[in-house]
Amino acid sequence: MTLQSRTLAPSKGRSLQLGLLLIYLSVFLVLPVGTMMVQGLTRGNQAELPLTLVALNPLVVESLMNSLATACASAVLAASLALPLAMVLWRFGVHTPLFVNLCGFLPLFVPPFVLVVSLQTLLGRGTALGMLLQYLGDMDPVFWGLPGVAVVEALHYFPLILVTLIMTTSAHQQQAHEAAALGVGWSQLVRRIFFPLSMPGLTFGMLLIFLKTMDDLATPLTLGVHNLLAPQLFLRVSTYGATDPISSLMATMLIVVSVLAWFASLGLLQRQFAFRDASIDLPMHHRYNRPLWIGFVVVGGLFLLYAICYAGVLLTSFARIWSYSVLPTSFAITHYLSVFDAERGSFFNTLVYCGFAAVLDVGIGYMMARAIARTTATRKKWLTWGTAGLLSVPGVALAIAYLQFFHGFSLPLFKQPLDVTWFLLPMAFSVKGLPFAIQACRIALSSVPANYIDAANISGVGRFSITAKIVLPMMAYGLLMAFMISFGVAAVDLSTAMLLVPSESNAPVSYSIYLNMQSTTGSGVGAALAMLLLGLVVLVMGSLVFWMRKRWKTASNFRKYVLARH
Amino acid sequence: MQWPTRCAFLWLVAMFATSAAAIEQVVVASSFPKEVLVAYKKAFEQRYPQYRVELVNFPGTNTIPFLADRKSGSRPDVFWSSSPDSFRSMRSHGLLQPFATENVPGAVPQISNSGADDAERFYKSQALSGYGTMWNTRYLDARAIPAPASWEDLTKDVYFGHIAMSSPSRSGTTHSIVESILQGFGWREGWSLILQIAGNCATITERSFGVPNSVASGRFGVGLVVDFLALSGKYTGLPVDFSYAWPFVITTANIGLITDARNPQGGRKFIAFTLSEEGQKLLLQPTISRLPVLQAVFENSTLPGDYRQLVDAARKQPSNYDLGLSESRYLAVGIIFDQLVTFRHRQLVHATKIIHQAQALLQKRPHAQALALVHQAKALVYQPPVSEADGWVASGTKMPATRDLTTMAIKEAELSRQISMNYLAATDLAEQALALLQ
Amino acid sequence: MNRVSIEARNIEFAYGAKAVLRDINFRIEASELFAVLGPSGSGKTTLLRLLAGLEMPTVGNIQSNQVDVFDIAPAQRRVGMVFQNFSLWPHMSVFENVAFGIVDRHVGDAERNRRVGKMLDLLNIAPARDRHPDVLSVGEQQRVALARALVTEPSLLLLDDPFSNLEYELRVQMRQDVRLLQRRLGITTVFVTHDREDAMSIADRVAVVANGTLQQIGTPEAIYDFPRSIDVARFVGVTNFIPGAITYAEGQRIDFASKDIGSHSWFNPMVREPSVSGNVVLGIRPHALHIAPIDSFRDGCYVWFSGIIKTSEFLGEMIRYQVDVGDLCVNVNQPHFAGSTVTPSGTQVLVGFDPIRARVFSSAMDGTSALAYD
Repeated sequence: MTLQSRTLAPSKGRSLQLGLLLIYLSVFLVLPVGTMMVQGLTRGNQAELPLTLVALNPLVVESLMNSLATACASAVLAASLALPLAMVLWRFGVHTPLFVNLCGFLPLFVPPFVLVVSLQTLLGRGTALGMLLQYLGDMDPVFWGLPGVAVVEALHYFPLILVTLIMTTSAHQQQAHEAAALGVGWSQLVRRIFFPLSMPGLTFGMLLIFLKTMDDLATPLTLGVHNLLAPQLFLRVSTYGATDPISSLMATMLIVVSVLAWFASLGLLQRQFAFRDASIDLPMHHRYNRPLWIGFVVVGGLFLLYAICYAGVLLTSFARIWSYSVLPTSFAITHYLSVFDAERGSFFNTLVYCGFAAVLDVGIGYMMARAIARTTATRKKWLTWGTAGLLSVPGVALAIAYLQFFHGFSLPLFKQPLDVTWFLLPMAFSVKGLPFAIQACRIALSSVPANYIDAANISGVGRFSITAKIVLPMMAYGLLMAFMISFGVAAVDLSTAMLLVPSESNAPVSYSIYLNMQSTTGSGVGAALAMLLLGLVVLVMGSLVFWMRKRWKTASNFRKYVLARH
Repeated sequence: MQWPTRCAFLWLVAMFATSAAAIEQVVVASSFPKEVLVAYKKAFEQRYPQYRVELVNFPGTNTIPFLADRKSGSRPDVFWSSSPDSFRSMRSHGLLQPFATENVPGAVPQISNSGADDAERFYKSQALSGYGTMWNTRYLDARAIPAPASWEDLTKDVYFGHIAMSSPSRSGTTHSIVESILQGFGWREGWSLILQIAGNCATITERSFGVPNSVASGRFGVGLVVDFLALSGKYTGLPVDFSYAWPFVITTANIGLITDARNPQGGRKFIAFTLSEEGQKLLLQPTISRLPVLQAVFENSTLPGDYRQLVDAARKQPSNYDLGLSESRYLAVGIIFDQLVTFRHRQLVHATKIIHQAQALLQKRPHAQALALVHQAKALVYQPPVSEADGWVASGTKMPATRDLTTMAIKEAELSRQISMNYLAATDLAEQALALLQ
Repeated sequence: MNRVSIEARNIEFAYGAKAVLRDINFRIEASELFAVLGPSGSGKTTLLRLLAGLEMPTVGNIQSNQVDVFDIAPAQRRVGMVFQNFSLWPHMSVFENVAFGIVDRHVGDAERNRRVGKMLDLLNIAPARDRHPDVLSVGEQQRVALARALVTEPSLLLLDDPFSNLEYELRVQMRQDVRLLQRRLGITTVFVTHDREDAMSIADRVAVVANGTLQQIGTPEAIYDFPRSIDVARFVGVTNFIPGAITYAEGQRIDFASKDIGSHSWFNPMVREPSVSGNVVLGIRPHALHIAPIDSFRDGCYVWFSGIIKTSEFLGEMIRYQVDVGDLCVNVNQPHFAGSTVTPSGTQVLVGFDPIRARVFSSAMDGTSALAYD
């Protein structure tokens, strides 16, 4: 049941909304990126095309190839980790544990470089396992080279694929079990039902990982891998400034690759059979013979993996002196105390920037969701896939585009040019978080039946009142979800922050962690900050997912009840 | 209004409120570690409560593009960095303005000609430091590696894979180290030395702090650092030690006022504070561990022996570090290092490894042909791709105008190809030598 | 095709602490079309799932041709099931969906295609063989589900509320199609429904389930004419229940007193033994009541009482009146002939019934009674 109030005539309010939306998109997306692409592809006042210059330089070409290879590798690796797990859970009819759902969302809200730092501490020569297992040789991630980036990204993001897989296949899990009880063999079910149904979820997850790996700045820098496109771009901009045309070209290449990847997976993504019906948790009938222990094993395994991977950061946050020994020689909680003392600002910054971006996203998302719900079927498809295509805008490229476009440009309200203030950062965050917000708003909107709106219309209530008093409260939870997702996506975005943050006191939490990790005595503070961030994400996301599952359960029970009565 | 609308409204209000703060801001642009900056920020704000210090932190090498991009009236107020080169180039770009503070009494007399106090008062020196090697005592003891005494020591094969350093384009202090080696040993020899050390490196960190960080935690054994980064670790209890290495340059951390700053008044106050006795005493905190310029503070404190070591050593062997030369090829040195080392580090390390292996075998059993091959290989790997006299090198200080980007880019491309070929050829030769010896 | 008979003994099923089915005993003959009729929540779907082997009863067993169902492996059970939402695989075409039903892996491709083709023809969905379920109509989807269930040549066919998704015309057609198909193939078939018309129109025998217990099993006519309890009566057809008391019952004569319709006595030749006295409920079908003008001649064959017409509905073949009789509201279905007019509301009328067609239930409206008369 979608919102179809076609009875309402288009009003001035709606044209204003549309106008604002267009302005927002042009000023903060189309124009900056377009100008940058033009600069990258044309001669300008140079003697040569940037393209020619780049083609001559084997390093840039090598970086492009490396980036592509690494991104593909990490996607494939993550898929090969997640697929067997999802299959096992599906085959044995196991309730998706809450922990798995949580792990699925974690990669979106915690930056992957925290994992790198943790692994470095864990496997580095002088500490923890690296120290313990010295005779096996060097395990420090810095020696893994290019594959190290792929491994770390895969390790960080594979739960995301796991959750998207579960989402697309859970709708038919019960059906499959019934078919099995009626005699169909499991190998046939897995081959012919699970794999085809998992395609959309798998593609989406892999695409997301590909895009995120292409765009990741902090991870390769921390690993000491410089010949990838994003770090090369960053280093170039730091040396030559943002107006460098070769940087523009490299950023354009980044965008083009991302967009191509997006288009390539469109075909598979569009076969959204069960996306609509999929819920986070499908209440399963009472089953005999359901091996519950498998669920425990999966959860236990995942938990162990996370515990080991993040043990490095955990120990660092509590360590006072940890040098060339398996475990720290002295512990202290001073790091946590200095977080609350010195880093309050970064939490505040995070709230302000990411909150601002999230509010903007939800507002725009809601408008777009309404617009999409009202249009014809073909335009709906275009709009949906177009807005989802925004996913493919890399943060690094967007940041550089902003730096170029808003160079020295002042708004009357601010005393300084925009690229010096913190203003651009939330705008960039909001553009990056928009696709998530739009999709979340659409789902929220679809839960408001059209009958309610019609009933309100007939009773003579004004359009604004309808929106404020009926639609929004019913959508409140969905909008909250959209807010949380946009917030999280913005909070974890390091690539954009590293380029756009004007000063350290303006740094949001993820950037603050990164900066802190860099200093001699400050790595403890950085680790404490990272642990606090992890804890916060687990708490907030955990309660959100838990509450969502409850609501879905009641909603589906309600639906079943309604259906049965008829 | 419904509560979501109310919340959104409050957000926006909070946003604009924070931007229109009434307290005066002093913006300090510096590449120092957080501990130093935060300590000074706290002390200053305590002393002058009407000011609030904002810190802009980025590698010293970024300053010129960053500041030049800013329009007048919107720039940070104070520039404070360990790298004297950047001050000179800032001055030549017209980014510094002279300021008159009260004459700081009793500053340590000029102990090097590295421009401790700029005669025209564009900037003043605020702290002294030198460069050298830092090592992790536990690490070296456990692996029976001797502590390094000089830069040349670091080229030995016993240090292979145990060193960490940063890149001159990302770290002002590393730049000073590289430049001082180049000036001390000459262009060709200097680059050869640098490349051999880099070949022994396990990693090239992104920022200079990565070096003392990883040495302190025992990830790597030796690092090329500026003294205070190592000493601050040592005096806070970490098992590290430090020694100055020749040729070194006693550099000063300078502080200056930026042209067209937002709050020049506040900037002046801050600079005066750092040069005052109270400000100088802050340098002696173990977490900071720097040498103050005020002789009074210096003499009256119970400094550990290492500091005096620096001053004494400098008096005995004054270095003839040419700041002008350093400035003129600032950008070029960074680019060359990046192309040679940072971007191709694995290849360099691989070549070095094979050369070390071959050389170890040659020591036991001399073999004329293999020796010749190894020499050839070394000549290919450990050489700069351009000569000192190349015009491109000397032009590297000014921010390249957009017109010059093409030349820069073509040059870079050329360098990249050449170096790549050199490394491949060298590895090939070394492997041949190794094959002969086995 | 193996003709199986199903026997269920002392079935009990509980979901956690909640008892869903209690004390279920029945027998289904081979090649019988058996309906399980009951309101929502009565446990009929659970019963079907037990027969399918999807659930296991907590107590009791189900035997198919004297072999316990759970002793047979799922692949050998030869049960075809059509679920309420059809459970078609969305990513497969009709052909593939039906072919998926062929469980036996040793069937070769040619044989498989032949069987599937035959089934598609049988159910008239051959033109849609390459389409996907999302573009099919509801009726077509159901036929695909049926084809999938039948393609394995099962010995037992189970249908979960197969007609409720269909609109009326299609439903009527589909019912007959299923019955014809069942007759032709001779498969023992059990279907579950809450719609009495579905059950009564095509089933050989009907089992009425309410509150987890089996209320009555019998042919549709038997259940309709001789419901054993008020529940069954109410469920199988709208019935008027008139509470009252039997003041005298001897031989074939009954004296019935009710505050709504007054006291009447009649002779009921069907009476075997007057085994009930005291408070009873008289149950009369709406079509067993007649309306006559208030001043017309009272035929002695009928029992007459007076009332006032409250509402009338013209339903084409008949007119349904609601008549206020005392405190009660009685439904009367009067056949309509061309030319006759609808008696307007507010008219006083006489309502009469043939005592043979009245059924007496012992306690008042709580459905726990046994029959008074057989």
